[in-house]
Amino acid sequence: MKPEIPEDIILLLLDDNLTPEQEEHLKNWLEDDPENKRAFVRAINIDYCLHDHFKSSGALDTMLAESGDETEPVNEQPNRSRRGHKKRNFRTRRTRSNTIRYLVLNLAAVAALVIIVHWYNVKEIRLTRDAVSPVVAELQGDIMLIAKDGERTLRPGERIRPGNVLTTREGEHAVLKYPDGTSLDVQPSTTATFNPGVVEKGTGKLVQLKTGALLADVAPQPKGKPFLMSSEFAMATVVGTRLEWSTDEKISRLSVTKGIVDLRCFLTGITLRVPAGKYAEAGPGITPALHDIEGMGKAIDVTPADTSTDIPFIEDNWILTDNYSESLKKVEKARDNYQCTATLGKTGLIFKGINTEKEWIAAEAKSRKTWDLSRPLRVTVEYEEPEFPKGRGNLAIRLLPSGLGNTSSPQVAVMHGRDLTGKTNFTVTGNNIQTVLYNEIIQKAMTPKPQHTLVMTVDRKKIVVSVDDKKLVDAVHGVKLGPVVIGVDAGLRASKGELKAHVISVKAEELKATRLK
Amino acid sequence: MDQQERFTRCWTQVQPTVASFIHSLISDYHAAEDALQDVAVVLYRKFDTYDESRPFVAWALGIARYEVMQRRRKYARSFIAHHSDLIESIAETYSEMSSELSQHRKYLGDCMKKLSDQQRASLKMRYEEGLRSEEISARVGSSAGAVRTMLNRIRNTLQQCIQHRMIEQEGGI
Repeated sequence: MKPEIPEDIILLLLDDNLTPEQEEHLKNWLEDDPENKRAFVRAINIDYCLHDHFKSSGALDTMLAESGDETEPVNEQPNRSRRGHKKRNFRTRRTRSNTIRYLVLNLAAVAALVIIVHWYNVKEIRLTRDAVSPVVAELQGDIMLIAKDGERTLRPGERIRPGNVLTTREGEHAVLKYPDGTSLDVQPSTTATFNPGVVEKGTGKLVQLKTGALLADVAPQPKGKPFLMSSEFAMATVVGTRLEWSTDEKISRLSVTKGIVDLRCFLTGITLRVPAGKYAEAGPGITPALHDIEGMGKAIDVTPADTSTDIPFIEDNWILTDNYSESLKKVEKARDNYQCTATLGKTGLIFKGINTEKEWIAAEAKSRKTWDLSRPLRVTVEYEEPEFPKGRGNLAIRLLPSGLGNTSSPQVAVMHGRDLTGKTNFTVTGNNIQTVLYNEIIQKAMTPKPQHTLVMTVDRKKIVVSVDDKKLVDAVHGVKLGPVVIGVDAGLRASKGELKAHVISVKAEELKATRLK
Repeated sequence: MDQQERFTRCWTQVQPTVASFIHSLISDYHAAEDALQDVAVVLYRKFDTYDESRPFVAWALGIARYEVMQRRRKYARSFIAHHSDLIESIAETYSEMSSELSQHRKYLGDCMKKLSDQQRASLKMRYEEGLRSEEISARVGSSAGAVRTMLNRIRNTLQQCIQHRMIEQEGGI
C-alpha cells in the first residue's frame, strides 16, 4: 500500500519540524513512486517561487519608499534569527533586507560573481549581506538601471543594489555616494555593474566597468577591504584616493590624482603601483608602465582678457535643439504635457517648458563658435532668475568639447536649479576624460535675485566659477586640449507648471596665461 | 561568445531550477541563498569541464547536489540532504521537470490575484515576514497545524491554477 503523505508535511519539512517518524514517512513516500517525487518537487518549487514573489514585492516597496525619502540613511545592521540567519525586523525595515537578498540573487549579480572568480581565481567568494550600497546623489538624464525586475529609469535618492547595472548615454551622468563618503561619478556613455554585496574574503566594494569612465573620490577604506574597480583588462585596488577608471574594448586606463592605487593587469600578470600624477594602461599589446598626467599640478593664473566676444542671439551663432526625443517615446501618450523649447529672441535666449512626467526633458542652445583651451577661456552669462515650477528643473551653462549632447570631455557645467524639495541651488560640476584631474561637485544655496551674472573661467588646468561676484569654485584640475563649445540648456522633470528661463547675454573671452611656478 | 557569456546564458536559464532544488535540501531560505551563491561559483569554475552535448541543467544539478552534500554540515538541515540516493533521484526529477518548473514563476503572479485577502495576508506573513507556522498561529490565534493546513491549501490552489494556466496558455506542459 502506498504511504500517504500528510498534507502539511511539506511545511513541516520547510519549518525543520519533522519528527524522525515523519522523516521516515516522507522518505518512504518519495521513494515509493516517481509521481510522488514530482508532486514533492512541484510543492517545493511553488514554495520557492512564493519566496521569490514576496521578495520582489518587498524590493518594489522599498524602492518606492526610498524614492520618497532621499536623505534616509541606507546602512543597517542585520538582526540575527535563532537559526543563525538574518531575520526581518517586522516593525520597521524588513523589506530592505528582503531587497538585498532578492537582488543578490539576480542574474547580474551572478554574472558579476563569476567575473570576479575569473579574475581573482579565488577559492571562495561569499556574499556579505551587510555590505553597503551607494545612493544616487545626483543624476542628469534618463539613466537606465537594469535590475532583476527589469529596466527602468534611475531615480534620485535610489540605492544601487548588488548586481544592478547602470548605463548612461551621451550627456548623462550620475553621482553616487557610499555611506563612508566615497563618491563615484558615472560618466556619460558608461556601463557599470555594482556589486557591493558580492565580495571576496577580505575585500569590500566592487564596481565592474564594462565601458566608459568612472571618476572616484574614495574615502579611506577599512584595512583589508579595498574598493575594487575592475574592467576586462585590469583591476584597480583602491584604499582611499581620487582617480579616474575608464575602459573601452581595447584599453583600460587608470589615472590617479591623489594617493596610490595598485593596478593589476590581467594579460601580463603585472601589478603596477600608480601614484598621484601618473596614469597606467592595460590591454592587449600594451606594456604596463607609468606615464605622467599632462599638466597635473601646474596651475595657470589668468590675467585680464585681450580678446572679448559677445555671442549675439542670432541663428548664425546658435543652434537650437531638443534632446528629449528619446524620453518622449516613453511617455508618448502624455505629449501635451511634455514639451520644452528654446527660442532666440531680441532680448536673448528664452526657454519654456512644461513636463508633468518623471522623464527629464530639456531644450538646448549651443554656440557655433568654438574655442580652444590652449588659452584660458572666460565665459560670462547674464540671465534672469528662472521661474521653476513645482518639481525639478534647471538652467545649465556648460562648456563642452563638441556641443551639447556630448559631454564626454571636457565638461564644466553650472546649473541653477530647483529640486523636489523646493530648494533653489547652484550646482557646479566639472570633468574630462583621458587625463581626469578634476571632478568636483559643488552645490550651494542660491539667493533669489531678479538677475544673475555667472562668470566661468577655464583653462587646461584650472577652473574658477563665480556667481554674482561670489566665488563658488577655484580649483586646479585638468582639461583635455581641444575645441570647446558653449552651451545653454534648460530641463524639467515631474514639474507642475511652466518653466521660464531667460538668458540675456553670453560673452566669451580668451585670456592671456601665466604659468605658475 | 566567450566562456563567461556562455556560462551566463546557460546559468540564466537553469538558475531558478537549481535554486528550487537547493531549497528542497536546505529548508532555511536564506541559507539556501548562500548555498546557491557557492554553487554558482563552483559551476563557473568548472564550466570548462561541462560537456555541451549534455543538458546544462542536469550538469548543474549534479554539481549542486555534490556541493550541498559536501557542505551538509554547514547548510543542510533537511533530512533529505543526508540521503544521497534520495538527493540523486530528486535531482533527476528536477532535471526532468525543469521546463515545467520554469513556468510556475510565470503564472504565479496572476494566480495570486485570485486569492482572497485573508489568503494573501497569510502568505505575506509566511514568505515576506518569514514567520514559521507557529509564529503565524500565535498571531492569528489558531493552532500551528491549522496554519499549515491553510498554507498547504493555498499552495495547492496556486498549483492547480498554475497548471490550468499552463494548459490554457501553452497547450499543456
